[in-house]
Amino acid sequence: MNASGDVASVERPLRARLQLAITSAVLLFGLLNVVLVGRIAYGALRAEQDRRLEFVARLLAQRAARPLLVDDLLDLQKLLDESRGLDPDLAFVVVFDRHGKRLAQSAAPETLTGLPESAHPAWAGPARYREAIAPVLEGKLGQVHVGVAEETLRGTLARIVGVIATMVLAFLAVGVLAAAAVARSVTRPLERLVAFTSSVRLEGPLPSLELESRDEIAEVGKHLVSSASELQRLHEEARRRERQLARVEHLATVGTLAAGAAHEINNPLAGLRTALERILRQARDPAEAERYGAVLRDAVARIEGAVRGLLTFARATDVHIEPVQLAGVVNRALELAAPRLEEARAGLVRDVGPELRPVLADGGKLVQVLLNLVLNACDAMPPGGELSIRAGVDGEVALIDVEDTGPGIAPEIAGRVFDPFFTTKAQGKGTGLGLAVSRTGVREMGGELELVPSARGALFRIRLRIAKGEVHGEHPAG
Amino acid sequence: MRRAAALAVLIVTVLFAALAVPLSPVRTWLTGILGDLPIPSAAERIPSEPVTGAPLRVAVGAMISPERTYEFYADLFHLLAGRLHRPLELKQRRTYQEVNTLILRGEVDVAWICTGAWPELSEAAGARLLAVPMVGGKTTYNALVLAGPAAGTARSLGELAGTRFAFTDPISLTGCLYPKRRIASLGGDAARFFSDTTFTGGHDRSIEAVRRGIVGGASVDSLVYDYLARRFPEEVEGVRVLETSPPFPIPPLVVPSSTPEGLSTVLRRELLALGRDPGGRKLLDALLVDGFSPPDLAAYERLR
Repeated sequence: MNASGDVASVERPLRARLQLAITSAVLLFGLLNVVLVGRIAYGALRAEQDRRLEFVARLLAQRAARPLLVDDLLDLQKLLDESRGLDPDLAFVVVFDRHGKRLAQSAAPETLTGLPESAHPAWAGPARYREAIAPVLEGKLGQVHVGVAEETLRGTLARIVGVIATMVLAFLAVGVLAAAAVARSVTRPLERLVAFTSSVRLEGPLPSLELESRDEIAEVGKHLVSSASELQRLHEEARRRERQLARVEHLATVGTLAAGAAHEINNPLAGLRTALERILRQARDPAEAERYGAVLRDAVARIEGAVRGLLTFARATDVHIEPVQLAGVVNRALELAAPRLEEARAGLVRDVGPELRPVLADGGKLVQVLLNLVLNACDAMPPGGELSIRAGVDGEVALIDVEDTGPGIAPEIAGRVFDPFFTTKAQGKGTGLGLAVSRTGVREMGGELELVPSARGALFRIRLRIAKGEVHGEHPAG
Repeated sequence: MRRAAALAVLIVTVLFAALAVPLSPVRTWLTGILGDLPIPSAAERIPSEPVTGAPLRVAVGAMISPERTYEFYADLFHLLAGRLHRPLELKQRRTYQEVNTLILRGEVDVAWICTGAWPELSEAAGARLLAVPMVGGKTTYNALVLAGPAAGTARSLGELAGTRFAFTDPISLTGCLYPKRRIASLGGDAARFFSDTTFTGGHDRSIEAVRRGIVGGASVDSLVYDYLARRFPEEVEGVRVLETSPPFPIPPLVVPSSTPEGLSTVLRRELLALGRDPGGRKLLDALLVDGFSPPDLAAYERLR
């Protein structure tokens, strides 16, 4: 998110370009219009004027024949005067005899300066005329020259060009306004997008993005909002994993320390036991020795158990994964837990059918994991509780649920039950390593051990991959 | 890039603003550019003939309309003038009287006049008879009294009474003098005999007026009528000949007294020779004229 993506600082703002483009298009169109329509109009005007001129010239030539034939110059002059009266656009009408001598003209000679050279060389001047020439009696009597000033045509043309130019200017004004409106309608949502993207942060509430339109830009906006939201979620997830990693690292350090400590304790502990046995064999009062010996032996055994657990957790023992029949594994674990189940007077619900396909696991480790879960359940339940062991399938994964009817695990500590040394048991009753060791074991088998929320008590679920193909043979459970 | 575009927009805007202002230089400039499109003028130049020497001045009386006169006679007189190595100046006037005036003033070298115009010239000794055309083997012609659609079923001049009547020229023999005399012989007066009269200025125009029903009847030169009937029959369509006059001496060519004897001799010689010349023959045939012959002076004298 570039915070400098401010709309005002955009190098080439879209709005300006859009306005420019639309305005230029209108201008170009307008210019083309003026030029093209002007040309067409002028061509048409000129052709029409030429036709008219020619018509007038021929008509006059026809009518001039008789006055010319009978040498009636007065009639001829009257004819020319009439013709000019009928068409005020006519700049001149001149009749020449067949020798080029001017016989009559429609206006006083001094007003005829600038006549075309064809009319009379001496009259050539700056003014420009459009001229038509018609022969009188096939030219045998002379010619009639009729002309209009180019200015007349240009005046009409100028009026047409003026009208078109005014129209184009009006179009231009409308076009510029329309361009501004269009540009605004396009760029305003974009500016909001820019403002949104520039104000999105990884944490904290998302800024609001309001787009009235239902077009592609609105669609982009929607995606942008969901992307930003997803980004925040991923960021949060990363942060959480970061924290988790820190805790794992901490635990690993603790584990290493514990392993070292256990190793250090283990050796003297062996010596201690040997010495203890020897002392007990040679004790004077066998009864007393037996009494204190039992206490000491029990203490040493407890220490040994704790140390063994620590070592198991710290050292990854070899894992031998192969297809294993779940039913056998469950049976073996329940056999081992039978005394404890009995002690806890717990009921047992077992739903592990032999029809289940084998799973990929280390049979011995899986028995230990199940035993651990069952013993935990017995510890958690009040007398007369019920333990359920169920096996099922979820796609390519086998599920083994171990559920008790104990008090369950409070949600606030649910995330920590697999941490080493975390325990809810009374002091001295558990090491806090059981679940951690179990999860490590299951993971080594490519599976997962997880705590699943349950209404009855605690529900632990083991997920294991189902073996593909035939089972090699029932693993000797134990 | 943006600056260039903005500049372009600015320029075009200024251009348009300038265009929209009447009489602005830009608008004038643009209309000037547009106005320079090369569209050729439809007019064509008519080459004019060079003038060489003193022209032979020929007058032709207004027996037919000036345009037709020019059409029929210009070539003939061009040929004649050419034989004399002179350019032609063909003169026409609206009335016979005006032509007579030209002759009396000596403003022409030769003239072809109506028979009816001759007595005045003869009396004034203003002209001499030069030659006469021969048409259909004759040197005479007639007056024809015509009737058209406006005359209903009239079968004689007398039955044209009360209609509108066309005269050619006040001194035209066949076009005016003859019908007036005929009406007088019927005991009438032309001014009252007809409901209205008009002077058309040419026998062809009188015929047209009859054909189009503008007048009920007219009296015309038989030479003109026969010519049209033969060459342009549609121009006499629906026109009936009610009466044919006795023969009159044909319209002659005359020379004013002022014309030198030498010139008139040459002119007569050339005229009489025209019929034997291939070029002249062709022109004469076109006019349905056999040729020219010396005038029967006595016949014309009797007209007085």
